[in-house]
Amino acid sequence: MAEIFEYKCPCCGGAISFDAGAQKMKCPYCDSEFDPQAFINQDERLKGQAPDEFNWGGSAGQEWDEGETANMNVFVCKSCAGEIVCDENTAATECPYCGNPVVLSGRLSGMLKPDYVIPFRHDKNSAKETLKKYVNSKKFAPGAFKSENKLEEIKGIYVPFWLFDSDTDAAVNYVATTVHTWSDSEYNYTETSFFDVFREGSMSFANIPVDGSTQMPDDLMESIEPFDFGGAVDFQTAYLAGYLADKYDVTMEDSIDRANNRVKSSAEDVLRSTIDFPYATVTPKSSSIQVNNGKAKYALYPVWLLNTDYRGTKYSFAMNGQTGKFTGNLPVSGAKLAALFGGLTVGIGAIVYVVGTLLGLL
Amino acid sequence: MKKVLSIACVILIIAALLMPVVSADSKYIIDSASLLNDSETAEVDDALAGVSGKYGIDVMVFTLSDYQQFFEENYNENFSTIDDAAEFVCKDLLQNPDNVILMISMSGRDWCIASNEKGHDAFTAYGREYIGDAINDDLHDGDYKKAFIKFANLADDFIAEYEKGTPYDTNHKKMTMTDYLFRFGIPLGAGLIISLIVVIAIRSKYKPVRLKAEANDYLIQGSLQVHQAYDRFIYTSVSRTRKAKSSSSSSHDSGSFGSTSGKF
Repeated sequence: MAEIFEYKCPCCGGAISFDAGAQKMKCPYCDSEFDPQAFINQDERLKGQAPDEFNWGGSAGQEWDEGETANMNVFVCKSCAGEIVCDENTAATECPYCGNPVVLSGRLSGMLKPDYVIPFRHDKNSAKETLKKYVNSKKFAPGAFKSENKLEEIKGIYVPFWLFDSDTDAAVNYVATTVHTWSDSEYNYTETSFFDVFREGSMSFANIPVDGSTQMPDDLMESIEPFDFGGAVDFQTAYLAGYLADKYDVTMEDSIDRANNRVKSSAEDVLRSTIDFPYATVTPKSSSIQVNNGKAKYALYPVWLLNTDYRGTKYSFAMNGQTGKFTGNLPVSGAKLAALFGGLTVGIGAIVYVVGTLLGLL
Repeated sequence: MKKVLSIACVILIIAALLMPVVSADSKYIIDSASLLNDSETAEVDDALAGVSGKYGIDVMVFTLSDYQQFFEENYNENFSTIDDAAEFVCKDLLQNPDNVILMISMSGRDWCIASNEKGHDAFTAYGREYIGDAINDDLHDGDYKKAFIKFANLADDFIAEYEKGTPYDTNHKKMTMTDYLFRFGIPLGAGLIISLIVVIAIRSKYKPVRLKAEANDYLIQGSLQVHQAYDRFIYTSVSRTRKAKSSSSSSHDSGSFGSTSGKF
């Protein structure tokens, strides 16, 4: 049975959460600050407590169909007794009634407990400001989109990642070319020489992250990389207070292929960088990659996320909660782009015509 | 009518010098090099006569086996260039000073277009080079009749433009459909291509979300060790493309006379 953790301020009793700016637990009511380590014992104590239960009678509503509630859970807020409905993967959230941050500790225990967590270093205001600048800097985004996006809905989420370490042996064959040109009175000549280039070597990778949540788009998560694992700490639930958090629903085994693909591509790139001769082209022809001593870790990484709809299409924006790197696809105004295309075509065409005429080329 | 008769007299004199290879009926083409048969000669002569009679500017074609030998034997004149020989014809042999001639010398595969007086006004250096470029390929391919007919038709066009008040020149170029396409198509094409590249670049900036192909950020610095490396030559291939041909013509203008020559 999952449990709800709420961290109370020892001074005033208010609900406290992890403050990214101060890197401490902070009470929003009396501004008291506490080291997250101080709450470890509290976590242990709370584990022994049974969750509250509230059973309501009456004939309102109707029975759930079989299996309909399989992925849903109901928790009760310890501050206001409000019911929190969430799916089976939610590990931390906030009460929709009183706004208190809660951690559903049962979701993170045992086999599912993360090894590490990178605490948020950028707070919500920073995320909102970055998003605002990002959208406003895009002159060809539709005006309606800029006004419609809801900055307040940006959420801080701890996203589950599998981190892969490996020692990699790689052997890669490349086909490289050099090109030499010359001419005589009748012909232009092009001589292309082909080379078989071989490189074999070893290298090590550490903490290659692979998104462990199906709810997070993999391309979005990889677009806000890199994460600096140097900022990771041993996992403590206290860091989750005030943020949403998911547990993984993609297993480590299912994530390995993604890591392997990235290792293979990097190994080819890295060995290619050892080719000193200035070939005209270098193309991988075949490669053999062996991953040894592969290890995986489970960690939660901080991400600010905003999902918004524009004319029926969902747009997601994400900011790396550790580095502040921001990304997200934006719609492009067809009218603005068409106007630019037409204007440029006429303008450049006129310039080429005038210059060509003045130089006697046209 | 009187003018035509006087031209005919001069032509007959020159034709007499070039006997027996020149048809007695030809008035505006002297085919000393025997590049055309009788019917072709008559056809070209008709075309040249039509243009000459229409504007009062003699439009003539001379073909010679070797211009240096010809003028030395018949006029005791030594010309180092075909331009000098053409000038001699335009100024000293033809009675009508308003003329334009095409001279062909087969020994050195030379061509020369020379224009005098009103002919020079109608056929500027630009015009002579334009016509030279237009007929060069036909001369190169040995299609002499086609080249001479084309010369007559272009002469008609050039003189007509001159008669309108502004001869074709560098500031008033003769435009064909290809020229129009070249003149307006290139700026338009350049504008379209550059605009397309700019628009595609802007669109890509609005779609920055993509999977990372590699994991270079997570390579442990200093961990790379290369155990084996070689670069072996396999083979070489050579391709060639023919250079664009150029008539490489050159023009000279002096007073009321000008000539343009080249090789075919």
